[in-house]
Amino acid sequence: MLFNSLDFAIFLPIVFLLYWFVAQKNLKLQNALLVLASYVFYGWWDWRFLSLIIFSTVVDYLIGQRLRTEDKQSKRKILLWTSVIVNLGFLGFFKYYNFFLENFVDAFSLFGMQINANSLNIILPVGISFYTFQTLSYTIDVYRKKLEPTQDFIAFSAFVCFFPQLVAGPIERATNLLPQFYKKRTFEYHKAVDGMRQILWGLFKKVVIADNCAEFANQIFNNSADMNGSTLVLGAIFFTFQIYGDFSGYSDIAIGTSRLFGFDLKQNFATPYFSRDIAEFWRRWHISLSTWFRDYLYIPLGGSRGGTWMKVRNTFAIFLVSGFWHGANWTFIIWGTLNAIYFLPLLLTNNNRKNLGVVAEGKLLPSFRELFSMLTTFMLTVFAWIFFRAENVSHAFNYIGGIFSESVLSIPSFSGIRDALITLVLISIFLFIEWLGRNGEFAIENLINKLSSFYRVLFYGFLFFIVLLFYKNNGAEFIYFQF
Amino acid sequence: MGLNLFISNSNIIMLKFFKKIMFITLISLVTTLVGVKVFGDFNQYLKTSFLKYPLGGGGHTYSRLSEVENIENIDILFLGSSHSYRGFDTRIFSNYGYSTFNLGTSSQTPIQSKFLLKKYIKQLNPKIIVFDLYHKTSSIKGVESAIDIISNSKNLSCFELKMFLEIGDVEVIKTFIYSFINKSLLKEKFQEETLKKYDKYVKGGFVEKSSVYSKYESGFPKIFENKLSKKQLSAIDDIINICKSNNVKIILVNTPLKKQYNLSYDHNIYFDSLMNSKAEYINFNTLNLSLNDTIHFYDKDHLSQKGVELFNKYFIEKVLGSIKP
Repeated sequence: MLFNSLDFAIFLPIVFLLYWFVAQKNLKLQNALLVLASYVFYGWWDWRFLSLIIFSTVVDYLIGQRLRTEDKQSKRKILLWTSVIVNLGFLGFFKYYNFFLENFVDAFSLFGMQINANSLNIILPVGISFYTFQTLSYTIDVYRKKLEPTQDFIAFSAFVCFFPQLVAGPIERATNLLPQFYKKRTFEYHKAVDGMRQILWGLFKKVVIADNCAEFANQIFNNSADMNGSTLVLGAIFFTFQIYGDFSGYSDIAIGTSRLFGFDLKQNFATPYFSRDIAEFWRRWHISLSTWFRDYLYIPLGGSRGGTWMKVRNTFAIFLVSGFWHGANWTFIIWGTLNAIYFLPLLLTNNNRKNLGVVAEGKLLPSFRELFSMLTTFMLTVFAWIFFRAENVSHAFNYIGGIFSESVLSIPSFSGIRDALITLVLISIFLFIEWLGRNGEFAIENLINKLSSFYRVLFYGFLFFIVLLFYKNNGAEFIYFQF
Repeated sequence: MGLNLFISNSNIIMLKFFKKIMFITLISLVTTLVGVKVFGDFNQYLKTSFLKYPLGGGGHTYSRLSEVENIENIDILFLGSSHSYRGFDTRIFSNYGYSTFNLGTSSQTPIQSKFLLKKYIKQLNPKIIVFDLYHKTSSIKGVESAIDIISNSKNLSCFELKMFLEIGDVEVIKTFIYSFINKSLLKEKFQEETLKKYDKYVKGGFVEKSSVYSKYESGFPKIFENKLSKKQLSAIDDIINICKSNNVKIILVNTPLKKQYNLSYDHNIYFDSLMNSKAEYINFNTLNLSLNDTIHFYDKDHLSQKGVELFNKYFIEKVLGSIKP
């Protein structure tokens, strides 16, 4: 079920009413209702893959139980690795089987050895990368004794499959989300209103920004061989806003929906395109994944302790894994590597934690220096996104080759230019609002409270109208569903 | 005071929340009405695709839907896509003594045909309905056609409302709102020209293409089966049932296409057998009408006036000959 579909618009109020009116007095019933609703939500896409989630839930719950009573370190390690192998095994099979097989065959053919191997027609279960990482965080934290293993199977199931963040995150830590299922939840007016606000803003990002940018990004990327340099630049910029609007929009709707049910999820995006360097960008982009890799990969590998070589190795490791997490394609690996290369000078000069606060805090406008840094970081990001969006590596290089040609000075040309101009105006308005609200968890969070109640309501009405006006095709799918 | 004894504190908070949601929804609806009107007016100049309102667009839908309001008791009603309103010349039928009306519209799918039929069947009281079924229109949602009809209907009624609810597409909702404001609230006035470039509107709903116009098309790649829409197939069944309950004879037809273009479809046999199982069905592409791809067509799927004359004569003599009302 898509957040931006009519199905969800009917599903959400039903679950909401049942949750607060029927199950309100019984915590277990509330959690059971969330499990059931989450299974319906997921099964709407393909019910067969529910078995994977249920299997993963049972395995990790049982391993958690064993870890509670097991004191012997070697046995605890075996239990941990069982969970890692089962979870990553599913992920590996569904997501990477064909990739490894094809590359294995290609590698052998380089040495003149022909291997007959048939790739499988595998459907990638939606959200597998997200809930796999979420359940892994539980087992690892229990193993590290940072978290008491739960004995409440319903609460644990709800933690694994909580529908707002099941298919595209934010990837929640067990330490943050699981305890929320144990506590009695009461309806909080301000939390719910805030949630509705965030849902509306998320819909704006997805429907108005991402889906409209997608139309031109797709057109330009799919016909890149016929496009001039300036059009290709525009295509990359459209994709840059498409992916941001799409993914951060999803996160906003997920966080907002959770608030309606009394849950607090972690912030996943913090105006990343206003970052002054690439390190800051990665502290602001897909925060739940970056911190997951930091805590469960980077730090166990040694983190920034040790010598320069260790730091470089670990940095490359997390960027490569992060790239590969996004998809079984060399383009994602190059995208990850490119970001690691961007990151390297900051790391080597110890400048990677220079920009920790919000840019131009307390000021209306940035300084020239800040503006220059933001633009440079933005351009580096746009360039990297080309690899992310391209069909394959040669497509990406041809695309870049097309940009670095004389035609980059010509006027952009593609069909639907009037719609594209309107979309660029919308992007500008979006950036302006994001800039004004860069201190908040989401752009309009603090901004809206500065308005009088009359203008506030009018603003909601206007947002609703804009979402309706630019809504297309009954809900385009979110990009991150494929990851 | 007494009431508060029965209503818990959390319910009061919840009530406050629902009140706010209702109020914002109300304001949003008002904002949407105003916003759609303002944007729609600007969009006449901006010409973006965000709000479609093809008033007086291709196919003379406005003239046809205006004229039909004053027509009653006819022999034959034609329904379907441009193949219908460009394929059945009401003048030729009139020469043979048939009173007809052509209610075809651009890309009209069975869903739209159903609603148009429901709206006008009592008033037109036809004896025969000729329903053009171009299989392409049975594979699509019908958004473009719904937008065309909603934009060009002189008065919006519950039929157009039901049609947009059945399609359930936001593009149609936007057009419906804009059209409703213009037509029902602001009584928009519009006069469509009879002659538009190469198209001439003929009384009775037919559109004649000038003989000067010809579009060269060749090399049709193989088109693999478009999945037929369940909703569209069910609309075809509904149309047949409406005809039955009103004692109207229905003839399903597939009007002539250029030979090479017709051959490019790979599921003609399947489609033909499916339609044959539903009602009397004639695929004119399987009959020998002596149509020449160059002379009798102005593009891959539309007959030229010469082609229309040949086809209509054949239709009247061979098909209607035995069932003259």
